[in-house]
Amino acid sequence: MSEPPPLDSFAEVVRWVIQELGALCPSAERLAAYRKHPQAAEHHDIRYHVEQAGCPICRAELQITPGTR
Amino acid sequence: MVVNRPFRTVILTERGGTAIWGCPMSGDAARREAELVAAFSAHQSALRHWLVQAFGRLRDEVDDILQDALAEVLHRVRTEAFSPQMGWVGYLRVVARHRAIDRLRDWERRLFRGLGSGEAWRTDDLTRDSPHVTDPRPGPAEQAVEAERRGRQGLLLSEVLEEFCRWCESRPQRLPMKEAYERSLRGEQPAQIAAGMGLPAHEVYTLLNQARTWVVQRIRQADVDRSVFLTLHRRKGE
Repeated sequence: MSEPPPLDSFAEVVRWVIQELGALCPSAERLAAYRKHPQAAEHHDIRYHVEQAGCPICRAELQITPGTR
Repeated sequence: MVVNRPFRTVILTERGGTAIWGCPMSGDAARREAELVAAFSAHQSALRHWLVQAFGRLRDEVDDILQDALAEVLHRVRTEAFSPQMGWVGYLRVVARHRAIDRLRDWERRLFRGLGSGEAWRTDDLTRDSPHVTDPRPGPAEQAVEAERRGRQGLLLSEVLEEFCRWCESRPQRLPMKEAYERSLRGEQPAQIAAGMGLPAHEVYTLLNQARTWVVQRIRQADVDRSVFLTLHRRKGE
């Protein structure tokens, strides 16, 4: 791997498990439901996770070409 | 290259290529395998792009991950007559994601073992508003032990947070708790969380308290010898 993560503190451990291991990602089923109805009230937590927090794992999941699922 | 005949096994070659090997196989299994390999070949570029986007740190390993994923699915096709409801590409992505996270966790273990100096690692307190704090540094004699402990800590925390997510998602009324806790772990203060979620402050405090209680209890159950999250087990005044 080319870029080792900075793990100089407990905060970095938390960032690592959330941002890179996807520990707080929604389930695949809920992410698929969010893709269909992103503004639904029950998807508020996913909107934050994807749009504000910018989870790279879920963003990549949502950007996959439709029809390849 | 894929040859569509009932006696063959697909062997992956370097960087996504395929080769054909002979072995007996039922017609149905051969058909499923041919579908799988065709789907993989058609979407390999999109899968690679998705993996790089999702796991940028693994960009040099995406081809290996995809090959591992394909080999794993092929094995299921051959041994279990497996055919996923979500389709071959969707299932390949699920498997590839798991294998990517496995690699990150393996790397995490190695990395933590290798850490040796300069770490500031004495505060593990998930009961705080956020973990963004400045910690005193351990002495040199403690660093090797600390590095090993930190490795177990990251793995345990990852598993507990995933379990927390699934627990919240099992009841719609728990979803605000999940969001509030995620915002907290990402560094937002309660007032910011309240504004972001459109909730009164006292409700945010309640949600955070419930979430932290759940997570801390799970960690205590898992960290039975109290060796991973040191400060989590301390009583006030210690």
